[in-house]
Amino acid sequence: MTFALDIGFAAIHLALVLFWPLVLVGIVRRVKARLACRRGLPLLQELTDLLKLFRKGEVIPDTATWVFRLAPWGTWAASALVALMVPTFSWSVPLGAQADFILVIYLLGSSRFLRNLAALDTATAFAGLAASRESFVAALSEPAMVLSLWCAGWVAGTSRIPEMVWRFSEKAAAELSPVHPLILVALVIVAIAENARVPFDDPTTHLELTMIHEAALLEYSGPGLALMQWGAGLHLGLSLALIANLFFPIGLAAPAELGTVPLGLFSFMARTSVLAALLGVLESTMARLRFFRITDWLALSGAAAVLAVIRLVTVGR
Amino acid sequence: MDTHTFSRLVELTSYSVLLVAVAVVAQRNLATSIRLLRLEGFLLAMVSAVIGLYTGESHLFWVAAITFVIKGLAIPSFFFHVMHRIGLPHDAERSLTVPLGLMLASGLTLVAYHVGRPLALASPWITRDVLASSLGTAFIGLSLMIVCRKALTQMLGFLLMEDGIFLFGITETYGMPLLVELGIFFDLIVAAGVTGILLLRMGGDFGHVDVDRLSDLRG
Amino acid sequence: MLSLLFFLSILLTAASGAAALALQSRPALAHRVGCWGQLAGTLAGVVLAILCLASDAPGHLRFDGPVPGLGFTLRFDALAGFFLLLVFGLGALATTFGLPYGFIGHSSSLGTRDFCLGFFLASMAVVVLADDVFTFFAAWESMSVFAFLLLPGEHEKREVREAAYLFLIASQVGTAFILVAFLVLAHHAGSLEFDAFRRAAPLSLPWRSGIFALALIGFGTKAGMIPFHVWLPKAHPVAPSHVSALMSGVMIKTALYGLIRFAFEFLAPLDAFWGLVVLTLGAVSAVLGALFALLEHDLKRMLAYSSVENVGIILMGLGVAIFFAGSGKGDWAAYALLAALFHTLNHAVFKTLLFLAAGSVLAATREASLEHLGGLARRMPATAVCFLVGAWAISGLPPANGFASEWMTYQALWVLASGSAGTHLLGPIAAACLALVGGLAAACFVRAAGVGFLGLPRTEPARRAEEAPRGMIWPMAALAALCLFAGLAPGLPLAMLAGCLPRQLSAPSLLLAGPLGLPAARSVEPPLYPLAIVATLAALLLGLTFVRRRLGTASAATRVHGPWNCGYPIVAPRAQYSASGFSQPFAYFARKLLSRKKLLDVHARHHYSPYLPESLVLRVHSVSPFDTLVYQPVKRFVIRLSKRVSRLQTGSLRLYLAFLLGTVILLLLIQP
Repeated sequence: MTFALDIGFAAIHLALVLFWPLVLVGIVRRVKARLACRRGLPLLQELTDLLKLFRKGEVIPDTATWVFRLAPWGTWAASALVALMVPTFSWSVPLGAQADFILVIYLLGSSRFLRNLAALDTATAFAGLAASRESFVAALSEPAMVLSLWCAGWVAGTSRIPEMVWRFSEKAAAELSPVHPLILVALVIVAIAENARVPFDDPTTHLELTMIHEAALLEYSGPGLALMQWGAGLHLGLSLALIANLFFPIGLAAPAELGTVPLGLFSFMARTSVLAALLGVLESTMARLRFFRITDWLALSGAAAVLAVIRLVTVGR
Repeated sequence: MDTHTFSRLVELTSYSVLLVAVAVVAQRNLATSIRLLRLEGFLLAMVSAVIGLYTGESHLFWVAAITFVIKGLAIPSFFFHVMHRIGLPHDAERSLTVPLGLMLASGLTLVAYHVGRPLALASPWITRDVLASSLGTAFIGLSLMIVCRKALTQMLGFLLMEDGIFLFGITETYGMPLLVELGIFFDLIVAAGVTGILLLRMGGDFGHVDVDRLSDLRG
Repeated sequence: MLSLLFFLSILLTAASGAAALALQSRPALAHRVGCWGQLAGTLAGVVLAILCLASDAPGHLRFDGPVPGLGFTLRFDALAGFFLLLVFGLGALATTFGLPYGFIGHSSSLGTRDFCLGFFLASMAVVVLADDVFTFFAAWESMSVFAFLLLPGEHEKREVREAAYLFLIASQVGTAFILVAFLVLAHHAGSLEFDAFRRAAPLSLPWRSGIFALALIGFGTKAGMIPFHVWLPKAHPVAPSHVSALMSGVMIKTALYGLIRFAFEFLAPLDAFWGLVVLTLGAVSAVLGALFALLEHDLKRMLAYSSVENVGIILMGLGVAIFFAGSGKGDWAAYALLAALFHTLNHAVFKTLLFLAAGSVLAATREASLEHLGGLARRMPATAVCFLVGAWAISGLPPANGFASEWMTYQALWVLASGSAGTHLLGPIAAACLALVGGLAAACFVRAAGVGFLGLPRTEPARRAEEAPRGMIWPMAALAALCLFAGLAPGLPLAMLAGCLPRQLSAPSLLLAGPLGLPAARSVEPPLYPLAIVATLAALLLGLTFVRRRLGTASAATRVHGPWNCGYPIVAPRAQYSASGFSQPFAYFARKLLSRKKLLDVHARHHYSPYLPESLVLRVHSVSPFDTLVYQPVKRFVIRLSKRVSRLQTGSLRLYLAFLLGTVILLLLIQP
């Protein structure tokens, strides 16, 4: 019985993790459109787009090798694998025992490695530019990401993400460690940077020279493009889920208890939707940073995490 | 309000104060710096009010109100006025890059924690977090005064330092006598006013507000 | 049995080298004899290494020399066995690669080179087996000398000659430090034998710390630890590629071997503070090594800098191990040392692989600069795949072996953070450094693989490159397979390494994870199973292909067409992103550290109009801070001192005789 329940939970998690991010992308777009006094696209537009792209043919540049063809699959699969490790409506996840935060960060790194290789494979200057810039942002955001998750893990006493979420959800809000705001700030900045959103990068820009993430996808079409877009959506979804569950762990479903599932689902969807809406507001109200000012923001993220470390070191949990 | 919730709330606010101070170091836009300073004033007013609620001392509400008005509204608005009047550029020049400045700030906070150890043990009321973050804010403010080249940003550093000291005082003593607070506020207003007027004159007479270049005036 | 195998391997490797030298007049034959002989010798050595690893008690081999106390003593234990496995295992693959590779390069000095290579391998083997000071130094010095001779000596390029001499000087200076450390120990123990060091009562802490500092500087110089690394990126790349592979993959590991022996056997009980020093130096080496690697154009020099980075990662693990051993936490010390040894093994494997792939590129194109390569994945598919696997592994990405050992290093730092207050802070900061290194290394190898092997060829030689012969491919393929194997089944190499740990550090709970698992540092946490991760990945991909099948329509065909390139019709090789363009943001970010200067030379036809230039030359100089702050002053001082001393050298025979007399009298006077 419990086995069947576990399977059921895993199935819900899988569905949620793979398809809910597409709605979140829709919410961000809708909020941005509304703030610009436009009506905006339907919430499920991203899904429609993906289905259409999957049905289309693909044009491969003649300069590219097998790396270019492989990259969308690898990128998507690595992001999906990480999504399987980050809790959503319940803190129990299918790959819970393997969900070490270092592994999560390095899996996202693998996904990026493949994408950047494929970008250089096209032999076009725009894609090379994207690969260089993305590597730069990633190299500087990784330390802040490791430090902030390190602090969260330290407070919780574990290095596994689902367990962290579980420990935090057990505690009352007043008992949360005072370093939580610091970690939250650090992680939010890093998440924005790694997802290539404003103010680090603008996903809606049409000027190639200012692109970071989008320029790597310029040569993709059809199913390849669909996988890349979906992979980026998965990344956004798992970042929002991570923030929502680490810092606002309200109403999580308990494993193997069916009755708590509806509340868990509702709470997860509500929390991530709010975060996505906030992201939309942020994107609408902030200007993009100059490329070399990105380091200042990442340094702020690192400094917040270092402050959290200092606090944990000198005072304890 | 029970003691636990109270101390958590004070801790959280003091961390926010520290974080805002770090954020002032982290960006170079003068207008944003002033806005952050305004936020700092609101946070401090909140701390005073919370402590007043907990201890039931009514003069703390007065302190909160005055803090809100002076630090949250008056001084930032005055700075904005000065800024527009002399047409200051938005870039707050520093002699350190932002990452280096943040490293310095982190180091100073570490020092604050270590300095705060004996003090914290002496006072049963106050947690070490609050102590360290208030001292850290003060240190960061002082360091900002050292690395900034423009008079207005130096004044920002001064105000940040004062914010740290204010936080330290109000949490350590749960409210000094109102008279003392008023004296400090008066000092603050005078300092801000003098700097502002000086700036206006400097901008008018020399066409710049670079403090380093004031040394040219020596005979 | 052990001694027989030892003689067999040493004699075969050395003697085939000598035979190659004797047959020098017929280079092809000499090379064949040399390579096959060395292959046989190294294979015998691999068997020896496995026997050493499997043996429970250390075996000894001793010869008495003509003077008492100056014999040769060897010791066959598991730690030596592991390093012996590196020497001979990678030696075997490198010589296999060297056989066809030698015929492609300049063939005039093939015999001499094989001679040096044979003796180089043999002396590395003796270094790790030596059990007394005399044997160790004889082998250590001959290793340095033959490595020096393997760098092309009478080369026409000045920088190559300078690199070779720099290598020699660095080796000698490092050796001097080690020698002093050994002599102090020997004086205390009253014997030159390592066994006596182990048995002797411990010295007082200041003495031990002093000896450790000397050993750290000496071995650190050989290992390429920053700030003693300057010679390494200059010297390693000028050797033939399979020799560079052995230098970066194996030779610098012998220095780490020496450091481990010193720290855990000769200087016990350890002091926790040493560990923190080693950890800090390791973190600095790792970050700066990765940064310098990223800014380097020359493929082989980039790999050499990345060796500095990886030595830093190993030293981080080693530092944590020393810290825990010093504070009496044996099981965590064992874990951290295991992480360091595992990364030693992994780095040896993928660095050898990458150097061999670079050699294959060099043989095909004669171009070492990334700016002149490109598009090799089409012309040299096998080499490209091998290089990509190596790049994946060295960037520490799962599920290859680099991830496994870096993850263990993170785990070691994670438990370090639960130590006392001072180390609390070092743990997360070092972890952040390791994360930064991960990001920089990934950028560095995306750049190397992407610019070098993908895209369009940038020059004519790259366009006409031919795939390497099969004899060069399969050693690389074997190494690539090893990278994946050690990543997917990390329990097997870990079980081997667990046998090498010093006796005081045994930790039985470490290997509960089984052959496929990667144990966590704290036994309450579950182990990591890379294979499970790969299986899930495969399942996800399978599901995705199914979806794609269902959604795809018949009319939707895949077409190959010129790149869209945002509508610009021309895709030219010169218009691709270059290697220096790729690393420019990093160079800009670190400009203060690198003291970079840009010079733009504008050659205009008309003097008054720089806006219509004929040609533009951009020159970027960057000066290493170590060079200006440390090495130049030392160099000036030494030169000034040498000038002073050279005044004594008048050339007059009678004056020399007077010195002689004076020395003898002085010695007789101060004799106790």
